[in-house]
Amino acid sequence: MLGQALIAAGRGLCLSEKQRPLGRMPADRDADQIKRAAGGDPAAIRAIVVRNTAPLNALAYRMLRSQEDAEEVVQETFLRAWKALPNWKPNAQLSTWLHRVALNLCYDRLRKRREHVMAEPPDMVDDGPGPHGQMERQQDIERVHAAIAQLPERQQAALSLCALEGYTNKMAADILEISIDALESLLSRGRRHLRKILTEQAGGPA
Amino acid sequence: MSQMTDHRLIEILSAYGASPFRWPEEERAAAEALLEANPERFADALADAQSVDADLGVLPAVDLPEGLISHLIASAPIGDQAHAATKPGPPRWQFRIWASGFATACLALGMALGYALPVDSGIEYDPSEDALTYALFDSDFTSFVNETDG
Repeated sequence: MLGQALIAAGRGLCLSEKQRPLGRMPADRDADQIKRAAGGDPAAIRAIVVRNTAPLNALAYRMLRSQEDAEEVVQETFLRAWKALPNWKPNAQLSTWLHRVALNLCYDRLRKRREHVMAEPPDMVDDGPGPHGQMERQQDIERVHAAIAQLPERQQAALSLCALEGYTNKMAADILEISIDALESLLSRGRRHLRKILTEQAGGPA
Repeated sequence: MSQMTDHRLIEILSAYGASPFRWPEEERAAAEALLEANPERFADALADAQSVDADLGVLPAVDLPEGLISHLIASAPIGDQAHAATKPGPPRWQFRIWASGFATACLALGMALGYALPVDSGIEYDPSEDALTYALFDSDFTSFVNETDG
């Protein structure tokens, strides 16, 4: 009974299917689409953009916590893709490659942020003054964002992919170019670290 | 159904959280079965996982900014632009032939000008400059004067 109740509670925290990133495209269809896009076929280009923009934007936003920065990362990622497509070698799925490029661009930006010691935190979504409940919710979001920002980059990336964006362990491991065992280790350490930070913030025992 | 151990279930909870939908698909059924059969044994690990899930759960889904997709499509080289961007330039061997031909032509022109133009440089020789040099550096200056006077 207790087990069933706990599992049901866990299910409630899941992302809906709509929010889950798209699954893998068959390799031959991926290759065909890339070839057509490299030749300037508008339909293929549109399909690649439509398929990948939302997951890339979500990942970049999770990593950078700034919509402006996330958009710039997505734009830079696609500019690199347009350059790379004519000489594309199918060593990886296009979506995996795009995620790796975006993630590396995010790492670069996070490093630059650290180099310029920031007097103020990055832009957060500010809904302005509102009802008390809404303000509390906004504070909760900022508290969790700030805690995630304290994690090492790779732990942030692993949590963003698996815990927040619902990628399968195989897809996340491919994007991070690590084994599934290494991914699980990153996730466990990330979650433990996050819990410690949030508990300390709340004034509880670490 | 795959074999599930207590240790592996705790690893799964620790890495993926409390929601079975996030667990590895091939282990999900076995993990759920073990958890349901022994809830007390995993209650602490499950509570920890749920606590982190609840914290992460406050973060809203990320909205896609309006106009971003159109902007990205517009940034792609479409149709003739793509062909122009991907059109290969002349092969390297063609460039090498052109470069070596140009170098040979320059050499031939230099040699022809060298033969055709007069050798006279327009600078006159002044022996007194030699005299001054020897006066400074040669101890037997007299023999030099005799030599130059003939």
